[in-house]
Amino acid sequence: MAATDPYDALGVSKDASQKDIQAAFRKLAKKLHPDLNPGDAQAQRKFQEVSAAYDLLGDEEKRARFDRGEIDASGAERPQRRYYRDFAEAGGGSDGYSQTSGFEDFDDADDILSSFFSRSGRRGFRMGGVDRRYRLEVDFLDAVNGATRRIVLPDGTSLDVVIPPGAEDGQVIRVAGKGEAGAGGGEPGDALIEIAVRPHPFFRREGLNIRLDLPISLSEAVLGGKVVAPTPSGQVTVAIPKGSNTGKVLRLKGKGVPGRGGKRGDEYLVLKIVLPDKPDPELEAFVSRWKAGKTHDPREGLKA
Amino acid sequence: MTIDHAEMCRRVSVGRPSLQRWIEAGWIHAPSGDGFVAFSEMDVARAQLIRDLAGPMGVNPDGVAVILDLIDQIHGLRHALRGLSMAVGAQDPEVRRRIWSDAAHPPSGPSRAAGALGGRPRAVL
Repeated sequence: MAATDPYDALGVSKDASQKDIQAAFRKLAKKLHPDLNPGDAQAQRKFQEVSAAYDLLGDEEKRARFDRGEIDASGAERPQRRYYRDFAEAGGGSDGYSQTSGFEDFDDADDILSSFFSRSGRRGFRMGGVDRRYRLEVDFLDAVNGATRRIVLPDGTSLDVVIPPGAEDGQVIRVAGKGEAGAGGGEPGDALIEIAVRPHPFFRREGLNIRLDLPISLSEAVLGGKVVAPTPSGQVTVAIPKGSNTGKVLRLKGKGVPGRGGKRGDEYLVLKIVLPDKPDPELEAFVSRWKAGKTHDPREGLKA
Repeated sequence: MTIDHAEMCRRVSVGRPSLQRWIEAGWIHAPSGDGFVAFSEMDVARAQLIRDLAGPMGVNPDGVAVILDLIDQIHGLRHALRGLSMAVGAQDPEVRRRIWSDAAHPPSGPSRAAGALGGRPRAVL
């Protein structure tokens, strides 16, 4: 770019005050800034010239050096810059900044132009907001039975997330409109909340079914009886059949995880015989007298 | 390279608080995911425009908001108009000629409305 005299570029006299120079620049910049003249190819060159002049003369110290001939106008040239209009034009409205409101009123008229504009507007200008992803840890039972959990979004607002009964680990809950804001009248994105289910100390989940190791005493195993067992929906009383062994499985119908369409899984109780923690002399005495106990071989099936 | 807040401030020669105000005002979008922000070259150019307006050009914040809003509308319109021009340009010469001639001397609005309402039929060239 040829270095024009900066005073000429700004249209001020050599003895103009700093205030006059600033005023002259502002006036020209408002007229010439390329981003205020998106269609004017000349604007960039002119603005560059005016900016360069202002860089020099707007700074009292630089101006004095220029006046003394120590620096010349070309020294104030700016590096080439890409203006916003270059992107906004190329971006074609998919940038998230440009708006449709400039022709929204065209929608009223029933004519071909309005349909063109509204169509291109919907397609090109409005940009839906981006979805935002979150992870929410929930307790095992809250996932099985359903719950509402409040989370605080990065913008400080809170969101009540409804965890449906039977929610699975890794399941994603979509909350419409709670993602990033849209642009140019576009819909906001959604919040996608991934559910992470914490393990439970004794329930295990297998699809819609629940498995639970249920400890029973030796007398309960031998004589049978009623015991209380936990299920996700509360405690139930279970009849242990006489002579129940470790590993025997009892099914509690409909006590599992709620599924789609009113279906509900079952809970499986895996019985586990547990002896008292402390050795019991009476039990030892009885077992040592118990003849059948000595002839019974539980490992018979393991013999090759 | 990705443009984070610091790089953005450096490129635009602006302080972090100013950038933050621009983002809060919605002038610049801060695309974030998991707390990580990456600006685009377009965001940089837009921020430079805001800096020009608010700095040397002496526009106050309300003025900047108005200007940005109008600029955004202009770009929306320019894009639509460009699309329309290209669509027209792809038509047969005769269709093009008729469109441009009608555009220069549009058939008046009310007569169209009348046509739509079943009044006098639309003029055909």
